[in-house]
Amino acid sequence: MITTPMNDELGQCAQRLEDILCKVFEQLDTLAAEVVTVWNALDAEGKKPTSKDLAFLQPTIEERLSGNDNYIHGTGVVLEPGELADQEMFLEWFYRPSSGKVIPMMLNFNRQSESFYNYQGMPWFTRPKLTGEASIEGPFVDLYGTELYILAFSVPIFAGGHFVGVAAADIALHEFDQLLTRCLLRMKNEAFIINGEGRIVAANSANWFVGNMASRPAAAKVHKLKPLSIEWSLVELPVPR
Amino acid sequence: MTQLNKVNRLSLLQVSQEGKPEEVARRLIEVIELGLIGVGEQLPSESELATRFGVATVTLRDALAILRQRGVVATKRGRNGGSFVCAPVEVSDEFLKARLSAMSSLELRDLCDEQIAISATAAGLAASRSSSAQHQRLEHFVTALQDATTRSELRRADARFHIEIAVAAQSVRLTHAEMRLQAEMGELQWISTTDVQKSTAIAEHRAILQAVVAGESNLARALTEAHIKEGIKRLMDLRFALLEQQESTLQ
Repeated sequence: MITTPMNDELGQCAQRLEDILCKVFEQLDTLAAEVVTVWNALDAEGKKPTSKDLAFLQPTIEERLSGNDNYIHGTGVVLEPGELADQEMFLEWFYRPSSGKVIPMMLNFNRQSESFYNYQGMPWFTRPKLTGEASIEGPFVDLYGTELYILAFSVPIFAGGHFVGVAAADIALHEFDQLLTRCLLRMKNEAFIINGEGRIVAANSANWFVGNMASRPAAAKVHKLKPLSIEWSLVELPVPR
Repeated sequence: MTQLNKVNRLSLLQVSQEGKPEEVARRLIEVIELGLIGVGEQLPSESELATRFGVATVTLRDALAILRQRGVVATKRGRNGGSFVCAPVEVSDEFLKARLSAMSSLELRDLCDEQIAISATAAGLAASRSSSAQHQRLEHFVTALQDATTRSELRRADARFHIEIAVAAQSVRLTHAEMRLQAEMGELQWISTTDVQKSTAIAEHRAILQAVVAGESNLARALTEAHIKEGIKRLMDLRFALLEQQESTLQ
């Protein structure tokens, strides 16, 4: 039997977590790359894309949603206003209802309406736009879209040197938790993952509640998770669980 | 245990459980209130909706019946038939008063108990779990209450404040419970609103928000409990006055 030294446990656990996160981001990068290919092709023809040009993403999106990774609740691309010739605001987005087949997401883009869904102000859209990097927003209780506790993963899409929109996924934390917790349980000490605002995303001990703000004891070891732009950290406490 | 007792025991369990058709109806109402399907527009077909919500067609029909009963949709028969979204009905004060006077003291007290269990707990948790972005959202809905003039505006700003508190508490269950409670209460709290009532509600919401921002869980909880009791007491008083009036006209 191979025994790993204690001090390496944190690093190994962090590596596993990063692999899980990267898998989600890689899928989003694929989606983004497909958009870029079409945008470049249309640009070469001197045409401005329309909402119909995004329909080609459907098979990829549906494949993601019907895969075994049932933590993906919904995914697709969300466009920067002004990018399309026929629509001001647009998203090509599908989600998986509690049962039944994958269906398109409808949102209210009527500016006059009180319930206008203005994604231009939402962190999962603005952050990748401003930083040009991958982002995770949440967890948060999603009041309108999904009625779940959600992590919003997003990556920016750049075509011809300018921002086109984001490729994003709503990850249901209650499903994703399985993966994260299993990683954390490989640690002998108490450990948890916190997001940029200091909120606990997953933990390996009942002493730490998901959703709570974590008070970080001075003796805790903190490992920043990659990609660094997401501002997540793995925290290990000097306490056996 | 007799058969009757068994049935009674079971019905007690069902009180707090929303049935499938009610749940689908509630979600459809949310979709309509969000403006996803506009006034006069046709709802997707029964089978399409049933697939979308993952329920049997029978269940969906029951849900549509609830919507019809509440005047949210109207169903036309025939070739170009289907369910269409109706314009939101302005409920009269008289209608709400009739609804209130038909409620029992026990019902109101029980509603108060449940609201305290949900909303006060949510406020306590929000004080320890909310982020500054959420504080700003809450602030927004206190301001919305200040700006509100019509009964439906007042009610919406009031309901949203409490729902957003549950969101800030990071609890999916408390958020759902709060949404259900607010839907059940409807515009009752805002019958014959006075300026005093409005400014009291604003001051109370602001005080709760301050406690949440300060991270004072116990204070946030206590203030919310007091706020809810205050509201229900007002409804009880109003109901007594209405019943008294009815009594005096009978004599």
